[in-house]
This record gives sequence, C-alpha cells and structure tokens, in this order.
Amino acid sequence: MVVNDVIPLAVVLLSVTVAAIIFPLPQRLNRLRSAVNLAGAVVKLALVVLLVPPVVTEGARPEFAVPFLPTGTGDPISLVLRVDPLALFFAGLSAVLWLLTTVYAIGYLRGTAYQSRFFGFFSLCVAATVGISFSGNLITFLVFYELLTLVTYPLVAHWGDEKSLKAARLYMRYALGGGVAVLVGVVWLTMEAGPADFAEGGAADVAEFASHSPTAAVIIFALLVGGLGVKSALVPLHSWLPAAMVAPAPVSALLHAVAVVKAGVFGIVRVVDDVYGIEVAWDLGVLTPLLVVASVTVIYGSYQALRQTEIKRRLAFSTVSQVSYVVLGVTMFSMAGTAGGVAHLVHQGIMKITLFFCAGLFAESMGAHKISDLRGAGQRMPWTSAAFTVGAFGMIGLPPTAGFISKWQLGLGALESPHPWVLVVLVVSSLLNAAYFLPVVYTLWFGDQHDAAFTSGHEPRLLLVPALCTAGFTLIVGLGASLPFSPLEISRLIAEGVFS
Amino acid sequence: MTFTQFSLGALALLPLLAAALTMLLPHPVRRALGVLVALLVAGFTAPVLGSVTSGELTELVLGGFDAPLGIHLRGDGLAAVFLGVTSLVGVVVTGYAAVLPKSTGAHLSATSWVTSHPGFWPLWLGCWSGLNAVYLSGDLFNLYVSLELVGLTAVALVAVGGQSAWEPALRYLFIAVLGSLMFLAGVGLLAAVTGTLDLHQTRSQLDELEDPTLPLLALTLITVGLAMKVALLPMHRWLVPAHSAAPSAVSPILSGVVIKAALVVLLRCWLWALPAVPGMQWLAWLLGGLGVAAVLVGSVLALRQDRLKPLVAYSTVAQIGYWFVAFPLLLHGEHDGAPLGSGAYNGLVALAAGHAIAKAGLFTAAGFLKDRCGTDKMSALRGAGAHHPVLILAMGMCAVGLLGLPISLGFTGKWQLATAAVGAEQWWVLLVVAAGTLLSAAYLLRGIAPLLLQAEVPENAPAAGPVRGRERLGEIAVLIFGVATIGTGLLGAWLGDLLEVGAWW
Repeated sequence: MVVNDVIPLAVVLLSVTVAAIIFPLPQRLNRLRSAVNLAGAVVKLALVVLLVPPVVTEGARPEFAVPFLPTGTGDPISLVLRVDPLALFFAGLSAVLWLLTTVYAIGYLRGTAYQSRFFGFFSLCVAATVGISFSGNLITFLVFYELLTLVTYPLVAHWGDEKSLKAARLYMRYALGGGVAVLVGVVWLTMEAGPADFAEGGAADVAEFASHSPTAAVIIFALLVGGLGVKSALVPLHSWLPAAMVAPAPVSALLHAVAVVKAGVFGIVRVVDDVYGIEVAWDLGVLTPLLVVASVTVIYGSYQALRQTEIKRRLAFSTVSQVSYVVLGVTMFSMAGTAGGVAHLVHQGIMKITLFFCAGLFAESMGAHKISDLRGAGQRMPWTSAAFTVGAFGMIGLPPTAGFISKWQLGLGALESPHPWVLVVLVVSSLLNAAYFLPVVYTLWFGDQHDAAFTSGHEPRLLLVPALCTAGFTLIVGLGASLPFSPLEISRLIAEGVFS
Repeated sequence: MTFTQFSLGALALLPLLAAALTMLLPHPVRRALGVLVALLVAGFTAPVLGSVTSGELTELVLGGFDAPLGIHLRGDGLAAVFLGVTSLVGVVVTGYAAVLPKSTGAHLSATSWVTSHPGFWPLWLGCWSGLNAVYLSGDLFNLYVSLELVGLTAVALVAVGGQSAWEPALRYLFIAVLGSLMFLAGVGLLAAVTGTLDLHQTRSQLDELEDPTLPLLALTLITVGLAMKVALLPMHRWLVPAHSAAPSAVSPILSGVVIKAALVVLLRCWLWALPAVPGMQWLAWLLGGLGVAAVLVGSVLALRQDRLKPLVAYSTVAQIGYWFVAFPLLLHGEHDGAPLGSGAYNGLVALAAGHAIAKAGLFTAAGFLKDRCGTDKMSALRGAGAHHPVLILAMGMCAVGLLGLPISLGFTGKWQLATAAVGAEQWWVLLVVAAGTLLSAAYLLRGIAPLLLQAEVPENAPAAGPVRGRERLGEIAVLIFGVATIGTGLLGAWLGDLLEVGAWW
C-alpha cells in the first residue's frame, strides 16, 4: 500500500505543477498551454480512479503526513492527506468536472488576454479543492480552505474592470471573515481536544471534550459552521455569490459546482459527521438549528431565484438553494438523509455545471443574458437547449434525472428522521424550482423567435461537448443510481460509516 | 576551533571588514564585492543553522578571554533563525541593488542629482555586520555596541535616498540615539548591581537579589528604549517617513531586518538576562496593550494612505503590534503540561521571521514600481499590473504572509500565538488576531487591487512599457521573497525545534 500513500500528495502536487508550468508561458503558446492543462486533468482523473478500488472495496485509507506546526510539547501537528470514501467522492467529482471545465474554458477564453494567469490560478484552485477533499484533519482542511479563497480572487477579478474588482472584493471580505471564524474555531478545538483527525463517526477526543464542556463545544461548532456557511452561502451569508457572477462563465461553473460553494458544504459535512460525529452533534442540540437555517436557505434561495430576470443571477440563487439540500440531508439525523445529502453533493455539481455551461454558450453565441433573450433559442441552438433542459429538469427533481434521486432519498430521510416536516420544505422548494425553471425551458423551446440582431446561434464544439457530457451524466447517474460505484451507492456507504 | 565556531566569528566580522574595504574601491567593484560578501555570509550561516538543527549550541570566546571580560558569541536557536532570515533577505536585496544600482539612492554629482549612491555598499555591509553581531552576542555590552552600529548605519542608509530623505533620516537619528541612551542607562544600572555584563551571569546574580526595584527600573528603561527602536505605537512616528523615503534597496532592509535587531535585544533582555521579577507582568501587560493599539491603529492608518510605500510602512507598524501582543503570554505558566510561554515565544519569533521575508518582498516591489513609474501614488499606479504580472503575483504571495494565511510563517506564528492565548484563557488575543487579519486584508487589497485594473492603463505612463532586461531580474527578486514567504510556511515545525536550542526555559 506504499504506492497508494503517495497518490493523494501526487494529485495535489500535480495541479500545483501544472500551475507552475503555465504561469510563465507566454500568451501566444496556446496549444502548449492547452496540452499541459488537459494532460494534467487527465492524469489527475486517472490517479483518482486508481484510488477507487482499494478505498471503496478493500477499505484502505491511503495517508500522507508531514509535520507542520509545533505544539510546544510532544508531536507537532501534521498536515495530513488521507483518502476515505467521502474524500474520494468529492475528489472524483472535482477530477471529472475539472477535465470538462478545462475543455470548456479553453474554448471560452480563446483569443482573450491573460490566459496564462487564468489557467494558472485555475489549476491552483483545483489543487486547493483536491487538498480540501483529501484533508485528514481540521488544520489541513483550514490550510487548503484559505488557499482556495486566495486563488479564486484573481479568477473572479479576471476581467479586470471596476465591477469585477468590486465583486472580488466583496467575495474576499465574506470569505476571509468566514475564514477567520473557522480559524478561531479550529484553534480553540485543537487546544481543547487535539488536532481533531477526521474519523468516521466522529473524533473520540472531541466527543470526550463535548461531554465535559458542552457549552464550549457548541460555541466552537457555531464558529466552524458559521465560517463554513459563508462559502456554502447559507442565508444570510450568501450575498457574495450572486455578485461573483461577473466572473467568466467557466469560473462561475467551477465555483458553483465543485470549488468554493462545495468546499463550504463539504466542510460542514466533515465537521458534523467526522469531527463531532452525528450522535455527539445531536446530543449537543446543534443539528436542529442548522437544519432550520438550511430550510430557510432552501426556500429563500428559490424565492429570490424566481425574482431574477438575468440567467446567471437566477442560477446563482438557485445554487444558494440547492447547496443547502446537502446541509439539510446531513442535519436531519437519519441515515437515508445523510446518504441523500452526500449524494446531492455530486448530483448538484453535475447538474449545476451543465446549466452554467449552457448559460455561457447562450451568452457567447447569442449574446443572451436575460431570460427573455432566450426566445426561440431551441431552434437555433438545439443541443445547448437540450442540455439546459436536462439540467433544469434535474434541478426540479423530475425523474429520471440525478435530481430526482437526491430528492427521493432526502424525502425518505425526512420520513425516517425526527423532523418529518422537512418533507414540506422539499415539496415547496421543488414547486418553486419548477416555477423558476419551467418558464425558462418554455421560453427556450416555444418562445417566439427573437427578432433582434443575435442571429448567429453557432454552438462551438469545445463549449458544447462538456455541456452535453454533464447533461449525459445527469441522466446516467439518475438511471443507474442503484449500480455499484454510483454516487448514491457510495453515499450510502459513507452514511453507514457515519452512523456506525 | 571548529568550522562552525569560525563561522560565528566570520558572520560578525567579515561584513565589517568588507565594509571598510569597499570604501577604498570604485563603485562597480563595490557592487561585485558586495555580492561576493553576501554569498559568503550566507555560506557561513549554513553551518550555524546545521549545528543548531542537530541540537548543538555553538559558542565562541574571542581571544580566549572568558566572561565577564571577553567577547562571547553564542549561536543558539534564536540567533540561528534570525541569521537565516537575514541571510535570505540580505542576499536577495544585495543582488537587487547590484543589478539595479538606481535603487541604492541618489547622490549629488557636480551640480545635478544622479541616481545610485556608492555609499550604500559600505553602509549596508556595516549594517549587516551589526545585525549578525546582535543575534550572536552573549553579553549586554556587545548587544549595545552592535545595536548602535545597526542604528547608525541604518540612519545613514535612509539619508542616501537624497534630499527628500534627509529630514526623515534626521528624525530617525534622534530616535535611534535616544533609544540607545535609554538602553545604555538600563544596562549600566544592571551592571552596577551585578558587576557583570554576560547574560547568564546577570541572570544568576539577579536571582539572588532581594530587592526587585532596581532590575525593574533597568528593565523599564531598556524596554522603552528598545520599543522606540522597534517603533511600537505610540513611538512609531519616525518609522513611516524613514522607511518610505529610503531608497528602494534600503526600505526592505529597514522594515525586514533592522527593526528585528531591536526586537531580538528586547527578547534577550526579557527572557535571558532577567529572571522573573515581580512587577514585570505590569510592564508586559502595558506592552500587550500598546501592541493591540498598534495592530488596530496601524492598520487603520494604512487604510488611509494614498501612496504605496507609506501604506506598506504603516503595515509594518501594525505587524509590530502582534509581537508585543505576545508579551503578556510569555510570562504565563503551564497548561496541561505545555509551557505557554514557549508557545507564545515561538509564535512571536515565527511572526517576526515571516514578517521579515514578506515585508522585504513587499517593500522591494513597492520600490521597484516607484523607481519605474516615478511615483508610488496608487492612483497613478492603476493598471500597472498589466505589464508586471510576475511582480503582482509575487506581491500577492508576500501579502499572504502578512495576512497570516496558510501556508506562511505568518500563519504559523498566529496559530501559536492563538493557541497559547486559548491555553492561558486570554480570549482577547483571538479577537485581536481576527480583527488584525481582516484589517490587513483590507489594506493589502487596497494596495494591490488597483494594480489589477485592466481597463484603464494610461497610454503614456512609464508603467505602460513591458519589463525588460535587468529590471526583469528585479522582479525575480520579489518573486524569490514571495516563494520564500510561502515556502517557509512549511518549516514551522523545524523552527520550533531550532528555538529549543539554548532557549531560556
């Protein structure tokens, strides 16, 4: 198992290396840059796939550790990269979507300036995401979490105009504020209960600490989740997300589907399930308030999405709402709910990235930014419109998409859980989802031809293929939900670990 | 005498000899010699770092006269850390100054001002010699002499910046001399009581002393004098004009390492020379309070600057605050068997070392932009990033260190400071760290973000030209600082081991 132990480090370093190669490349070497990017993405995907059999079927936990912070006495705190099923799950998502987004971004940014900078930070962003997924303790998580904040700043500010910089500044303010809260929480917890290695079912030291000083444990939980809630856009900490829509489309796609927002949610899952442990968290009484916040976010996000007339802003608020399903799942305190929440981590990623890919295509080819601009797009851009429709149906939760599986599983979980009222939240939210996505789909296919000057409607292949792939995944994952190694099956495995 | 012992002596004396030698040489030769000496000093630092890593304390008694008479050099953990940092900063800045001579100031030739100043070389090498001697000195008198050497050369280094730098240099001179006098008075008091100047002997003598008033008075004098030299708020007013008016190659030295020399002396006096005397806590709390004020006020003042170099200088004022916030924790006892004082001390040293590298980088970058564009007004630098992508990237990396985000020594330091504070149940420290981080993010973003604006690069601005030739090397210097800021973040555990060697506890 020695080889496997090196893979987590290799995956992180791979993206860093790609960034280091790309940064100094002159603008004109487009082919070389694309080749390096794609090669990195493919190799990374291969490495992650290599980890699947040992981790999922053999139960191995490849681990790499390096001493990082001195503690004064005894062993220093280490940076730990460890692969458990949840880590692999998230890393797999990022590996697949990174490859597709790279293809998309190469097509999207063709001919624009500062591509080396863009792709350099893009790779660093992925390195940070992989680091987050493989983190074996809270300190390692914190390191990569802050790194992610830093490297996404230049991506959000990429266009370099006043508006982008303003949005990037807002993002930075929120993210750093959240980061400081997490830092304080981690420092405090480390001082009380040691470095808090992630463990399925919760860390033993944390459980012991929570039993003798519950108040401090609750405050620390609030600090951690409050800080993580900024990135995962829990209401009322969500305002940066719609503003960050000024970023180039592939960045928005990545931010919403795998990187920033997901990192926040993933962190919440880690804190609830692997640091505190669901039983301890339940005993502390911190799950129900979080469940209520998540419910409010789900409904409020959908309501705001309904009010938007711009495509990207509607999608942004939809993300606010959809990502909180994950929190909903892990806090409702039932095994089926946890499985549904964790599965939605992946499901939401592939569906939302489809929608963003399509939104970028519409904007590029037809200049369409508002929903009303999409009239008749179905005839001019049939493939894009079809992919968008699949994504939208997924968001609503219609069978046979991945979204249906998530909602079904979450619904089951709600009935099993001590909070059956969550079912109402799911139904109301689905109705709202339908109310803001169906009109868009209707406009696409049945709206009158838009008679304005946007006539081209060309569908560039580099942009279209990734969108079709993710739309295909949405269907495959939905249809094959009970096959081995499907996201749902792996999340069930993870949920069993949580409740063991 | 082993090679490591020889290195100790060479570190203190080689730059001084070279400084004397450069005065006799023409300017181009000075540059070559400067680079050579810088590399040699870095070479001599390596064995000291190596022996401290293996847990050995290297000592050298010059001329065979033992304490209290002779000159006694001690290469312990604290010395090793700062020797290492100073070598890094020194080598890079020396290279920068050699490649871009206009960064060394301006001098009057016949009737007109010429950029570049040959006086930079002897002054800088002399300063470096003083810095190394400060780190290595094992007795109070040598600390005083070396600190004086550092202070006076630093003042002169500011003054080589040309006419506009003379007034700030003069203010700096007053403060430096006043601080030194107070320090000397404190040392004199101690020597009168103990009859020795050696740090260890002073401590053991004072341990036997019944009456704590005299050591306390001496410590107060020493602390106030050194706090002036470190520029702890409210004694910070000299720093901003001096550090921002200094030439581009000097500001990084001043902000990066010169103020650390006074900090090291302060630590030597507080932790090595004096035992815990009653009343010391009050002084520590006072310093802690001033530290908090410095973090907050310095950051807010940095936010209000409209020029880049003063912004970076105020950032130094704010960062100095963190070091003093650690002082009340230094005297704390234990928590669950872990000595809190050592945690706070480790944090303080990590913060100071991280600051040295990151701030040297940021000041080099600011000076580089000022030299290229003729101004450091932020409104005039808008869009400068278009032609300096490497520089902006490097500035961003340095900013990570100053923010105290991972991975950097700044983060390691904050982490240790925060854990020590939680252990001592001093929750206010967490608040200060949090507020300081957010404020520093605000001012650093204010300084760096306008450079990223792409829409409005003024056509005829000097910044509009791409970087070519030698200036490219100047950018590389900043990049080295940036990479080092991030890279040293992985050395936190090693730093903790180093500081164990010859520690006061």
